[in-house]
This record gives sequence, C-alpha cells and structure tokens, in this order.
Amino acid sequence: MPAELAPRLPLWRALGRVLRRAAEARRRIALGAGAQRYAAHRSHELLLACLSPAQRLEFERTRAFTVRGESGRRYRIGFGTVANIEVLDERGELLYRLCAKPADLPTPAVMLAQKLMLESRETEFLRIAARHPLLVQAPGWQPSASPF
Amino acid sequence: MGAMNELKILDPNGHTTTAWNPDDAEQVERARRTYEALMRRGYRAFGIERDGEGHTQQRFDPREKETLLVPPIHAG
Repeated sequence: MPAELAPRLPLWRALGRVLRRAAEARRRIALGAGAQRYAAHRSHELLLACLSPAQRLEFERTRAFTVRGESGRRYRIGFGTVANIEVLDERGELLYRLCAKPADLPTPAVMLAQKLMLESRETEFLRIAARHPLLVQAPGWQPSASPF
Repeated sequence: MGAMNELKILDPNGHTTTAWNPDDAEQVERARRTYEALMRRGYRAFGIERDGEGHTQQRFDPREKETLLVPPIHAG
C-alpha cells in the first residue's frame, strides 16, 4: 500500500461503516412503514365488517360514523385517536368531545374499540374518558373581565 | 371439519386471530385459555350482531362465531 494512503484507511473504513448503518436504517424504516400500512389496512377491513350498513355509508362519506349508547345518547366517532368522539345532543349538535382509547392500536382499531365500548359498555367508557370542552365560542359569548 | 369460530384480538398489527373448531375439545380449551388470560389483563369481549351492533360478552362462549377482544382503554 502506498505510504500516503495508510493514514486515510481508518477514515474510509469509518465512512463505509456509516454508509452500511444508514442503508440498514433505511431498510428497517421501510419495513416498519410497510408493516404499519398493512396493520392499518387490516384494521380498516375489520372496522368496515363490524359497522352497520348505515354506519358504513356514513363512514365512507365522512370518515366518521354515529353510534348510539345504551342510554340512547348519540356519539360521532371521527377518524383519529385523540378527542375524536363527539357527544351529540338530541338535534345532533356537538356538546363536547371525549377521549379514551386502548394503547398502540392502528387508528381504525381504536375507532372499533370506541364503537364497541360506547354501544355496550357506555357507562364504563364514560367513567374512564377525558372530556374535552368545545374550543368554539357559542354565539353571543362574552369574555369575562380579566383578573389581571 | 366443522366451521371455525374466531377470537379476534385487537393489537398493533390490526388484530390477531385465534380460530377453533367448536366440536374439538382441545381447540376449544386452547381458545378458552387465551380468552381468560386476556380477560384477566383487563380486555373486554364483544360479539357483533348481524346489524353491526356490538354486544358485551361476560364469559367465553365456544359457540360464538366471532368474538372481538379489546385491550383496556385509558383516558386520552
């Protein structure tokens, strides 16, 4: 080996290691993304299979569907996992939002879990769920006097 | 072989299926053990009516065509 290249060899080796690790990381990310897409697809299929015809139609149109709890109250479950449940009044107007879900599930599986709980274990679900107030101001709303 | 009944367990892969033949005592027992182990961990079991409405299940029913097992929920 020419003497002038000898000191540079460790640098080339280090660069080779970095490139190999980057390629491995890219491969792992691609595999992970593929697995996530597959999981989302499977859970979407299962959700559709568990919806009533009316819920399926609504979901295909709006990416949300309405369920009725044992109390008779209606809830709209939107596509999402955070505060995605709208509690509706008798006229279908939004009262407030709820958030409760199992951990680490694809979004459609979370929505399916929420549907099943609200339809047949409504009281338990409501006991656990966090309530999110509306961020939209009602017509005629006036801010109270600032304490500062 | 008769028709297979299924437990569908919601998980990060979407779901995992455990199938059993209701006429095979060994398979029924294996499914029952899976079901009861998950229920002890706080899972909730549901059947699905023909109209798509869920109903809650209190105990393992080997004759139920399809049972969905949902992991414990937490406030978000």
